[in-house]
Amino acid sequence: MKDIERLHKGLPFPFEAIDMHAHIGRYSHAIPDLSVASQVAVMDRLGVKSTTVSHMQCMSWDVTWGNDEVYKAMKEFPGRILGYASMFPKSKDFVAAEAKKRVKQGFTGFKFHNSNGFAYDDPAYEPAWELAEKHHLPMLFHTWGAPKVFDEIRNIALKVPNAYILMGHSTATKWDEYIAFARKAPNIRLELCTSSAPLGSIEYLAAGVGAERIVWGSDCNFYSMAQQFGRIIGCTLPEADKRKIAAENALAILADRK
Amino acid sequence: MDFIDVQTGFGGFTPGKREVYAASALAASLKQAAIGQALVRIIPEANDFDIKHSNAFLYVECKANKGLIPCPVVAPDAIGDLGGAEHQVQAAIAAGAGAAVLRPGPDYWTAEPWVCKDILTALGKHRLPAYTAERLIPVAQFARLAEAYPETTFIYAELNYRALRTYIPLMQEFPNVYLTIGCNFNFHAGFQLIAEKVGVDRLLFGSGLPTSEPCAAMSELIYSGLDKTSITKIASGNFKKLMKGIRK
Repeated sequence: MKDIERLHKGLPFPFEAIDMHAHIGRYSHAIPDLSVASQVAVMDRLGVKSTTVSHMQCMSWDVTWGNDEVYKAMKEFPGRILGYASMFPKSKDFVAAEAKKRVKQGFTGFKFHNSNGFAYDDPAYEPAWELAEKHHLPMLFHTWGAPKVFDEIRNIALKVPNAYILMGHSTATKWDEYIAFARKAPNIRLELCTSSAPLGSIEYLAAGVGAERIVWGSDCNFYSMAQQFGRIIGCTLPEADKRKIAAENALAILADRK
Repeated sequence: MDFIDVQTGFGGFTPGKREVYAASALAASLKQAAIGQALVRIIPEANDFDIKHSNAFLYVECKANKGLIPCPVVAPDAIGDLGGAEHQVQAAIAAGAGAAVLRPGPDYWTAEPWVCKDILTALGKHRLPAYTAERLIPVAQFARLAEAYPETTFIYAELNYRALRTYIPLMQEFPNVYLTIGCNFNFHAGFQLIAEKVGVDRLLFGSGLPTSEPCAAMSELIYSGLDKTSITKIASGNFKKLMKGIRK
């Protein structure tokens, strides 16, 4: 059955997708259902195996509370909800303690968001990078095409060749810059989510860096997971490339944890 | 599933671009996504400055491409260069229009009730929906029009994914307002909330083509968890009902 036929019938997809960019928690604009169960329900309808969430507090200072909330969700839905531990660069000691605690709790990786006003290469973050390098973990960065941010993340990527650098929102703008950036280091992956679902964006990135360097993310509950998954359904790449982007590349990252 | 796309278009000129997105290209994209029909307007509209020429071009292309329903431009006609409001609406209906688009910025008029009384009254009289986008008429101004012309049906497109706190009361307050679900309608569990608060009878499917991937909005609707009857209404049923209500 073709993807479009499956979509029209509302059937789940024949392979289990892995969402590498999602959230739980409240944000300032209205999110109609804040329950984690509502996210798992849409995952079931789509055929998404797991989603890797950070708390909305990744954009602010109270990451400890946010990470606790993520940990609760991980325990409530084991194997379905995976966790990114959000980091706040209060001090190196704070980051070291928080990162160590969350890795021990089974978090999948780390989430960094520069809405907190700090550069991604702020030295206080170093303990988190070191743990990611030691355990081969993914680190998801919120990005929106800013040259300064590319520079900051490049500095980190080169220090941690065994960690995975996930560039959030790689289809939002400046696709050529994301492609060029991904070519700078083999541990960089381009994550796809953006609200406007630009036509042809996935195909463009795949042509530039190869499907094996792209991972799917929904940004749910900030966005609709089904809306973002529809981009995979509709893109014109071969089935094998869609599977890489929606599942296999993420599975390889998750399986590499040491 | 039968889909009618009410948030799409073609044919607009972008300065610096040598190619214009053609109706035939849109028709091909719709076919690829198995979308049977589409209400189409000329987009982008910034350099589409001759309303009569624009509408004539739209009608020709809609005739040449099966499944395209025209959404021509209308405007207040204070100076009489467009033949009057009644003439504009009748011409649109004669050409098979499913709605008519209001673009106050590009067409140099102000979207206030006292400016567009003629055209909104004529649209209301003929039950031809007045179509616009949040980008073209900000929501506060749009609400003033919807309030002033309760007999006129309004379709509001290109919504903002952060503005549900505004859209829910907009729909509750103005029963003549319909919303499209094309880009950037993008809410986790948004359909269930709208269904609970205002029902699904005033939601219309839109793809966002040619800028957005059409399967995104389709997927958001189909995997929303709504029952099949509700999904069918949004996909095409609600717009078909509006089309049936148009009076010559």
